[in-house]
Amino acid sequence: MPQQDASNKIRVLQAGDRLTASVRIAAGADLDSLDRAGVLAALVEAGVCPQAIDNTAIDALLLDARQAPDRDHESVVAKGKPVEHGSDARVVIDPEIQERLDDAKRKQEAPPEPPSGADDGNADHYNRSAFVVVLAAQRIGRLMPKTDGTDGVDVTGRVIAAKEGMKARVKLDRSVRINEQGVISASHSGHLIAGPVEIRVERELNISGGVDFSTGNIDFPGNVSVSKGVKDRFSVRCKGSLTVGELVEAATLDARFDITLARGMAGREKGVIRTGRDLHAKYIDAALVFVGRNFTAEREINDATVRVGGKLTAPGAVIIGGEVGLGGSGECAQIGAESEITTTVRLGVLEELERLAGAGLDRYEALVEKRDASKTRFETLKKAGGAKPSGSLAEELTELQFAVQTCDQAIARLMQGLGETADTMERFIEPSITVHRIIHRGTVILVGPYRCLFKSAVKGPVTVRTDDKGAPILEDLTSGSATPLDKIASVTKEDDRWVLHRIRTIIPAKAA
Amino acid sequence: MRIMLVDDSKTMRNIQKSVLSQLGYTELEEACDGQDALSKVGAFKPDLLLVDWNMPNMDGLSFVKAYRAQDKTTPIIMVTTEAEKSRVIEAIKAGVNNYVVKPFTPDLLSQRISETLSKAGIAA
Repeated sequence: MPQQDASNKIRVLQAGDRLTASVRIAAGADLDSLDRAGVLAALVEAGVCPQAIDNTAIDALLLDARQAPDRDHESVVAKGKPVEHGSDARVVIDPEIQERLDDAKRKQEAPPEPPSGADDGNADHYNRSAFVVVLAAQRIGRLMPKTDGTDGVDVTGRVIAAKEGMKARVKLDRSVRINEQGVISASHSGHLIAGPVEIRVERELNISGGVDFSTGNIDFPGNVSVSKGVKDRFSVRCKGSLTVGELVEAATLDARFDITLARGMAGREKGVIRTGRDLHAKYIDAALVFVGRNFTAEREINDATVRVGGKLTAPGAVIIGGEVGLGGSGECAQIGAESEITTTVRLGVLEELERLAGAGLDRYEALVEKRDASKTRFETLKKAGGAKPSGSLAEELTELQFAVQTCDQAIARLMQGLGETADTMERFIEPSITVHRIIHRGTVILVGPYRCLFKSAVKGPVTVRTDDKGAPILEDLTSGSATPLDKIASVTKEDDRWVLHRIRTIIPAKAA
Repeated sequence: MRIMLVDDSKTMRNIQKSVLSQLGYTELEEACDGQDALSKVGAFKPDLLLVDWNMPNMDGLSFVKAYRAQDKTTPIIMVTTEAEKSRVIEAIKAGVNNYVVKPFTPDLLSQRISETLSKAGIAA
């Protein structure tokens, strides 16, 4: 509301928010009678609080007016203190996490185009995941607390009350922790969901679609569930169990626990499945499969290389082509096909232990060779050196004796390890397979050191297993009769192929 | 337990190191002759020394005499091809506590070390 001193043609103007007051001196005002006190009086009369008035600004205004009295002059001469409202509490996500979240969001909204070439070696977009994974205790961001704000004062001296900031609207559940400094970190490993209304870490990753260019490869610290399929060349790795609802193409699946495929894998000789515990699938086609424990197949294991640490349960399934190795017992409907495609089943095979034992045996043989060579050279040199060998010869003899002793110690340790490995293998293997319908001509069953080639078809239900002496037999489950397999199939013995036999040649089994 | 190995042959030092590490000794220092050993004993302060006799610059016997002038107690094992009785006596007079003749087996070296430490009243 402007107020005017009539005699001096000065007006006091207050801003709409009353945070400033100005004085306007009109052209032709009586400046001889106007001084700072006059302006102050006009301001006070207009309700301006003396504490808000800036005398220097008044003096500057009067000086300007006197220098150019023929025109209007106006200047801000009083200021209030603006209010500072409190800020709301908010979560600030760490830049690296935010970048990943933004990247994942972009990928979900606009998946990259598939590579043009079938074998595009620079396909980085396979590795760009659309999910942000955090590990337990990993820092996610920080909760910035709300502030109270600071009251303001207008030029009339009236207090302008500050508004207090609001509490954070974002919801944080137990999957995240906040320390005294407001640092937010993950309570456990998992999939980070961070939006404007909530921040949480999910232990399981549920993918509503399939694994493809919209998701990228998956590497997750817990369970993963994929509603649809997994496309060619993608990988899903998890430290829990994995479930896939539709077809898995030539992809890589790797789970620490179980893998369940509602359908199966069409691996095109590139697909790989590796599971620490059980695998359940309708079918496996042209894939490499490692199962730590048991494998349940419903329909078909076709042209696949399969290693199962435990049992194969596939009473309605056919095994055609490829090689299936079983540590435990097996059960299937059919092995081989009428086309006589070579189908190999290895019984009593613990792949990982055999690989370790094989490496141990190689090392054992190398050590024995080295020890024997050192011994021979020691004897030769000692004989040549006589009772008082020269200094250099004495050193070489010492060195050879040291080599012999070192080899002996290593051999002793290896033998102990190999013996325990063989004991373990013998305890866990269960070399038998029951075939309900038919074993086709061309099927090869490897049992221990025996290679059994079926020259004609054998109708089920039958069980191929070993007898008390370890020789392969065929048991007719209808009649209950057992026949040595060499009466039915071409059986050859290949001791050297069988790691257990090689170990037992060195270290006989302990008496029961 | 700090052990110093004094031998001009790196191979011999390596063999001794292997035997000693199998016995659980890991604080080891190496010297390639008597002079090198004298320059290191002050800082390393060994609890046991394995010393070869025939070495360049300063042989093992001279080293033992020089070392005994400053340290009367730390046990010394002479590891050498010098097997004659007179040489053994000479070494013992100079201050050697035990004697291992090359060629030796790791077991023999291990046994000599244990008995030397035991006689010296040092826990192995």
